[in-house]
Amino acid sequence: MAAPGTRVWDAPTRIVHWLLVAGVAFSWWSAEAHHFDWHRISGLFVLLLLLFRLIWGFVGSDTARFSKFLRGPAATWRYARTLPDRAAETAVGHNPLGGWSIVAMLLALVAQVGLGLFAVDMDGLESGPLSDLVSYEAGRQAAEIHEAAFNVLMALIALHVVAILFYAVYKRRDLVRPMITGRARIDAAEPLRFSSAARALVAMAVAATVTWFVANGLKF
Amino acid sequence: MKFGAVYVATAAILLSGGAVAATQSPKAVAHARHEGMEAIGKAFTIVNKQLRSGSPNAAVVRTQAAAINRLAIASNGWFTPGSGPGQGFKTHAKAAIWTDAAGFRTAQQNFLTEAAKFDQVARGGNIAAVAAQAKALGGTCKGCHDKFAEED
Repeated sequence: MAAPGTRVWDAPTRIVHWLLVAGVAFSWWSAEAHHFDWHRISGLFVLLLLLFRLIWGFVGSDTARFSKFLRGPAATWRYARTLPDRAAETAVGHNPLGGWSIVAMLLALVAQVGLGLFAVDMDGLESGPLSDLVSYEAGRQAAEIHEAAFNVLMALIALHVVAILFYAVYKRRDLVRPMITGRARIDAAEPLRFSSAARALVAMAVAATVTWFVANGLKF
Repeated sequence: MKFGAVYVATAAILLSGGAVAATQSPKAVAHARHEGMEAIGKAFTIVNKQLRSGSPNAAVVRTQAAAINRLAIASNGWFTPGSGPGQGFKTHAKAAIWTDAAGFRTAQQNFLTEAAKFDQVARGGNIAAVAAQAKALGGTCKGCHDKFAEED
């Protein structure tokens, strides 16, 4: 029998996940509503979360590490073939498909935020914190691609939501609750290692420092 | 140099504007309009970059303010009828420019007024006044574009 409430997701991973949802949603809304002062702040906030998550992917708890949940094409394909099964999930943390979709979303976010940093608007009124480093023409290009790239991000997020629903309805596995509480009803094949709060604070400090420099236009 | 490039660009646009007025090709008008708007945006970006920096260069701001004012005056020739949407060429101009001619003229006049004022204020040495007027000028960009320009 599966052990009830096995700890799977650490707090930093969970918190960053939900803050990203809020940050991306607010970034989208603030741009639509032309509140670019807010958009700039929320964009930097997403940058902060993104930087933390990328660092945490290397030094975080087992279930947060890229090396632990990313598999090669063969293993990923093997996993994909089990999708039609209604059997209970056995993967602890991200399964191979989930793992690659995470990477896709993170890359889309890196592109989205990265372009935004250099973007300038039509009127010369609003501009990203690093736009001073590039020409006006380059900034306009960045703005246009930044807008187009959001469609890619939206598609990936939609796919992510559909996948979660698929697992909930078809495979009868709730993936949302564990991302909130951190606990799932599964057996961990080997004991999971969790990174300390101190390490998370150091990772956050590094992310915050980089974000601060970016916010100030990388002027040293 | 940045302001050198703006002189050349402005001259080119004003000259092409003159040539365009003579030929009256709607597509050419739309093109001159697009180039002109980009030139204004570029000049204003330079202004705002200066104002955001710790030590704004008054000479740079003066040059860009003068350029924006010249382009604002030139914009009177950028909206000939038939140079709007649905004519077979790409444009950010909305049909409302011609269907709500009075509203558009008001918005355009606001731009001309604030651009002239900005040129004036930039010749003085008061950076706080320049910053305030830059903000007012920016408001006229938005004020017109919100109603009469398609989003990117």
